[in-house]
Amino acid sequence: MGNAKTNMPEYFLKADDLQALLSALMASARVIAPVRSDWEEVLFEPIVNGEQATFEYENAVVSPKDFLLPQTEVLARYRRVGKSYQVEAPIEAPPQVIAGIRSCDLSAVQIWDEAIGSGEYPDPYYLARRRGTTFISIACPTVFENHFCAVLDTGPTLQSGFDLHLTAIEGGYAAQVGSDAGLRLVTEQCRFFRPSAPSELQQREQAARDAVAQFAARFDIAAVQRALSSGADLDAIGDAASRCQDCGGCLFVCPTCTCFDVRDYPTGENTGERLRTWDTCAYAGFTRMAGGANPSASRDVRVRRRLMHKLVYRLESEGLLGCVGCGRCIAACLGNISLVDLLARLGGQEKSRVG
Amino acid sequence: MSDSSPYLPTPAALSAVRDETPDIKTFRVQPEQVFDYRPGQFVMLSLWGFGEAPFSIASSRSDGDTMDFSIKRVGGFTEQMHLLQPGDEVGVRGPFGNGFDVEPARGANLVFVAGGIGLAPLRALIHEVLSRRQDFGQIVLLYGARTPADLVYRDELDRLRSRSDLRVQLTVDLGDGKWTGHVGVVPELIKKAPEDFTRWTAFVCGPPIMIRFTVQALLARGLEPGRIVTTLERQMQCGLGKCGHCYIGGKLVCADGPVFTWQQLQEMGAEP
Amino acid sequence: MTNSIDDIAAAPCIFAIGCNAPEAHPLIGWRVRTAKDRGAVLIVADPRCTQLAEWADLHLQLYPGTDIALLNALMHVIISEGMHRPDFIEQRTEGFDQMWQVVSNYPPDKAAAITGVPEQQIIEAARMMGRADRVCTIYTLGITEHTVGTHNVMAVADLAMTLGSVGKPAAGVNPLRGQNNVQGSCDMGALPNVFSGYQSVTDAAVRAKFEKAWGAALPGEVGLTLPDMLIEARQGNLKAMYIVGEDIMMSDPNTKHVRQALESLDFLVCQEIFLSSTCELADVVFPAGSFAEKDGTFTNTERRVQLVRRAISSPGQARPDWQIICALGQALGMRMSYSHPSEIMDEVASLTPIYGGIRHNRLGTDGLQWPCPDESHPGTPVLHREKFTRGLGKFAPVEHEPPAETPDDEYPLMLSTGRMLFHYNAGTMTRRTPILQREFPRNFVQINPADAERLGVRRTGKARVTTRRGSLVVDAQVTDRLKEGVIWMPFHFVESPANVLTNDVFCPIARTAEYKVCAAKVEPA
Repeated sequence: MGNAKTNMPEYFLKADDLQALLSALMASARVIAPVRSDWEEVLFEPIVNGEQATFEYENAVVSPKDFLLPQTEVLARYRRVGKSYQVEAPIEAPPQVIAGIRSCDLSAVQIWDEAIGSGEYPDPYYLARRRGTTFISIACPTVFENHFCAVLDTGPTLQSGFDLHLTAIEGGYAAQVGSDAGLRLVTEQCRFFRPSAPSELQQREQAARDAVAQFAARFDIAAVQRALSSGADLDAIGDAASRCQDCGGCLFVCPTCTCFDVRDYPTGENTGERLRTWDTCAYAGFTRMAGGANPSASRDVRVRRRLMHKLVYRLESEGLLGCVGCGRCIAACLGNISLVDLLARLGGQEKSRVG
Repeated sequence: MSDSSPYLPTPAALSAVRDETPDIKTFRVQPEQVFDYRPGQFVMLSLWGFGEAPFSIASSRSDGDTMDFSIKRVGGFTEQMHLLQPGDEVGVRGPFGNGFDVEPARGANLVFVAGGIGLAPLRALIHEVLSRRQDFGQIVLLYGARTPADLVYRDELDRLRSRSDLRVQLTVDLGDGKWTGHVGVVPELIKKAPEDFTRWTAFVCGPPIMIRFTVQALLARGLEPGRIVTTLERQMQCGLGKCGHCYIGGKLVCADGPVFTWQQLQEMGAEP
Repeated sequence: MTNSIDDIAAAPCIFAIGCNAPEAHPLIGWRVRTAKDRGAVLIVADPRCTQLAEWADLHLQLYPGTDIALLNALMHVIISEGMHRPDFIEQRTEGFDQMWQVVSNYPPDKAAAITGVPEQQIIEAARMMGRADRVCTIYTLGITEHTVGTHNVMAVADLAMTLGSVGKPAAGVNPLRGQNNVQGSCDMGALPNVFSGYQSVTDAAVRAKFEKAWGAALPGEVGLTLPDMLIEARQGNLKAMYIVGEDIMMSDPNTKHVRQALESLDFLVCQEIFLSSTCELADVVFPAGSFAEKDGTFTNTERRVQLVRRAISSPGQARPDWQIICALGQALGMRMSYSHPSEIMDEVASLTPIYGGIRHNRLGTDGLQWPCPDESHPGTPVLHREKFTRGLGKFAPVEHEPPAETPDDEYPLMLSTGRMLFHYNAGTMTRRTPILQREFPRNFVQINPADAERLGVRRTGKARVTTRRGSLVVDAQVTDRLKEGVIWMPFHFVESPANVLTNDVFCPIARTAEYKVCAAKVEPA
C-alpha cells in the first residue's frame, strides 16, 4: 500500500470511462465491484462486464472482506492412508481488483493487515490474496447518516493507504496514485488516464472539504476510551445489553472483525477438510470451554468486551482503532442499539439513550 | 508445523497411553520433528476429522524427545483422544504461549499448588526445576483432587514424596476407606503450611474456582501478587493469536499467556 | 394477522400474549423494540420472564393455560371502568351483551387466583390498554397450543374488539405464524376442510369448480387433521401417509404414540431435505430441494406473498418439491405438467379469490398482501377496515377451563415447551450448522431456584424430567425467569425430544396439541 505523502502523480478519469476501465482490467484479473441487486441492495460481486458495476450508492451492505478473508476457507485437506495422513494446504491467490471500495472499508484492510497478515504467524492464506489485490477506492461526497468516519479519520476520503483513490469532480474522477500497485494499474491502463490539470487538483481538495462541511461530531473518541477504560459506563452498557439479542448481526457486517472458527468436516470415509469460518464474540459459545466454563457467559460482559476491543484494545495491540465508522452495525441491529448514540453517551455530553 | 502454513500440524506417533484416573489419561507422543519448548507452553493437538484443542505439555524438554499430555475426557475432542491406542498418529502444532519464566525465581523458594488435572502443566515445570535442583531454595508441592482416585501421577508423587529435598503434601475433598492423608480443599494446605511464604514464588494451576481460593489463601500468607504465577485455560482454535477465542481483557491467552501473574490479571481486570 | 408487520412498529400500545418475538420472530421483535423506542406501552403476558418481558412496561406472569381468565378479567376492568369503545362496538359488532354476561364473572381478584398474576397488575394492564388510542395484539403459540386454543383466540379477538382495535392501522389481532410459509400452506388448502383460499370442501359449488379445473372427482367430506391421522393409523384404519417437509416424530406430542402410528402404516413416503427421524421410518424418501434451490413464493404471517428464487442447484438427486409432486401426479395419471412455478400460481389465482390478482410478475421485491382479488388490486395491508368477513364482528364469550392435565401429587410441576433463538423447530437445519449448534448443543430444562433446591437439582447438574408419557435426562438450567411450580424445555433436540413428554390432547376445534402445559415431575440425575 502507499506511504503517506508519496509524491505520486494525479490523474483524471472521465466518468464514462470508469466502467470501461473495469472491463479492460478483466483481461488480467478478477474484478469485484459494487452491483445493485433486484432488491435494491448493493453488494460487492465479481463482475463479467464493467457495466454491471454501480457507483450510485452510499456503501455496500457488507465490506468486500469475503474476497480477502473468505467467510468459509479451506485451511487444509487431509486423506488418511493407513495410520497416517496426507495433508495439503491450498493457498490461492488469483489476481483481483476490488473497485468501488469506500475509505472506511479500505481503512479496515489495514486492520486485517495488522491483525491477520502480521505478527508472529502472518497468515499465508490472507497474504497470498492480499498481495494479488489492487484496490480502486472512491471517496464519499459526504458523511452519510449514522456514519462517523470523519471522527476517526477513516473517511470520507483518505490521504494515504490506498492504491488508486478516486474522488468525483466535474466530468469524472480525480485519480490519486498511492502505491506501486496503483501506479502499475494506471500505467497498464494508461489510455483511460491523463494527468490532472491544476484546477482538477483544486476540485478534488474542495470536494474533500465539502464532504465534511456539514458533519458534526457527536462524541470525542478519547473521552469515549477514557470512559470505557475506567468502567464509568455501566448504565450505557447495561442499556445496550438489555436490547442485544446475541444475533451477531453487528459483527457479521463489521468490516474490522477478523475472528474465526476452525472445524473439521469429513468429505468421505477417509478424507476431509479443516475449514475456517467467520465467527463472532457476540455468541456465548465463542468462549465456552469443553467442560462448560465460560468467562463471557454474561451478555453485559460480551457487549462491553466488543466495545473495548474495537475502541481500546485494538489500538493497544494493533496500533489501529478497531472501528472505521461505517455505521453498518447501527443499520443491522434488531435491538436498535445505535453505536453513535452509545458513543455520544459515553464520550460526548449527550445523555441520550442508546437506541 | 509446516513452512507453507502455520495451520498444518507435525505428525506425531502415540508411543504410550496410561490411565491416570477414570477420566484422565496421559499420552506420550513422539513428533516427527522434535522441537524445543519451555515448561508452561502448550501445543494444539490435532485429530484429523475431529479438529484441534490446546493442551499444556506436561513434560519437560529435559525429560527427552517425547512429550506428555494429560487429558481429561470432557467432550467431543477428548472423547476421541481417549479412544486412541499406541501406534496411532496425532498432529502437534506449537509450541505456543509464553511458558513459565523461572529465571527470576533462581535461588528463591518455590511452592507449587495444583488441583486435579491442573498438576499437568506444573509437572513440566517441576521436572525442569528438579533437573537443576541446586538453582532453587526450598520447594513445596501441595496437590489435591476430589477423591484419591482423581489424583494424577500417583507413582511419580510417591517418588517425589520420598525425596528429602522437597516437601509434598496431598489432600482430597472426600477420602475413601484407605486414604490416610489430609482431607479438605487445597487452600487448607496453604493455611496450615509451616513455611513462612513471604518472598516465595507460587505456581498455581487448577479449576478457576480453585485458583481463586488458592490465591486468596496465598495472599493471606504473605505472598505478593507479582510472585503468584498461574496458567489459564481458554477456548482456542488457532494458537496463533488470530482467531480471537482466547481473549482475556485486551490480551490473548495463547500469545500473551497462558502464564500470568496474579498482579497481571488484576491489572487486566481479568479472572482465571 | 389482520394487520401488517410494520403496524406493530407504529402502535401506541402493544399487548404480546403467549409470544416471545425476539427469539421466535426476531424481525417482529425488532418492530416491538422500535415501537417501544418511540414511546409505545408494552404489556407482555408470558409464564416466563423472557427478554420481551424485560422490555415490557408490565409483565403479567401467568401460569400456563390460564389465558382466558386473564383476558376475561382484562375485559372486565376495561368495561367496568368505561374504557371500552362504544362506537366501534355499536357499529361494527354484535353480541357484546352476551359477552359481558360471561366476562362480568371474571373480576380481577378471581382471575388473580386462577392466573397467579396479582390483581393490581391485571387492573393496571387493563388501564394501560384502556388509555391507549388503540392496542396492537400479537400472539403466538402460547395462545394456540392448548386444548382451549381456539377459545383463547376468541378471547383475544373479543378483547381487541372491546378496545375497538381491529380494522385500523397500528392495531389488530396478529398471530405470528411459526414458519415462513405456514400461512401459505394454509392458504393453499393444506388443511382437511378447505380447498385453497379457505373455500369449504363441503360447499358443492366450490367443489364443482375445482373438479372441473382438475378433471377429477373430489371428496365432499372433511378429512383428517394430523392428530386424527395418527389415531386412525394406530387403529389400522389409515394405511398410508405422504409426509412432505415435516418431521412429525420430532414435532408431534407424545413421541411414543407417533412412532406406533407410523409403524402401523402399510406404506410411508417422506419428502425431506435431510434424513430426519420421520424419514427413518419411511418406505420411500424423496430428496427435496431446500428453500435456496427452488423458485416459487412464500406467504408470510402478514399475508404477504413474496417471490423466492432459486440461488443454487439441488445436490445429487434432490429436486424442488413441486417437481416431485407433479411427477407423482403424472404417474397416477393426472394432468400435471407445468414448466415453471409461475404457471402453478396462475392456476391458484384462477381458483382462489383472495389470490385472484397474484402473479409472479406482479410480486417484484415487496410482494403483495392478500386479499388481492384481481390484477389491478394493490393488496391489502389491513383487514376488516369497513366490515368483517361475516359482516359484523361477533363477540364469542368463552369460559376458563383448566388444561387437560394439571399438577397433582405424583406430577406436581407444570411443564411448558417452546422455542429458542439459535435453533429452529426440529433442528433439521440449525443443528447441522456448527456455530448455531455450538450455542446450544444439548437439551435442557429451566427450573426455578426454589424448586431446584427443594428437589436437590444442582445448578450445573442434570435433571430427570418425567411425565405420564415418558422421561428424559437433560442439563438443568436453574433460573428465576420461571415461577415456582413451572418448568420449561425447548423442543429442538432430536436425541432428547421434548415431545416424548408432552400430552397428545388436542383442541377439539383446531386439533392443535396442548404442547404448552402438562404435569411433570423432576428429580436430580
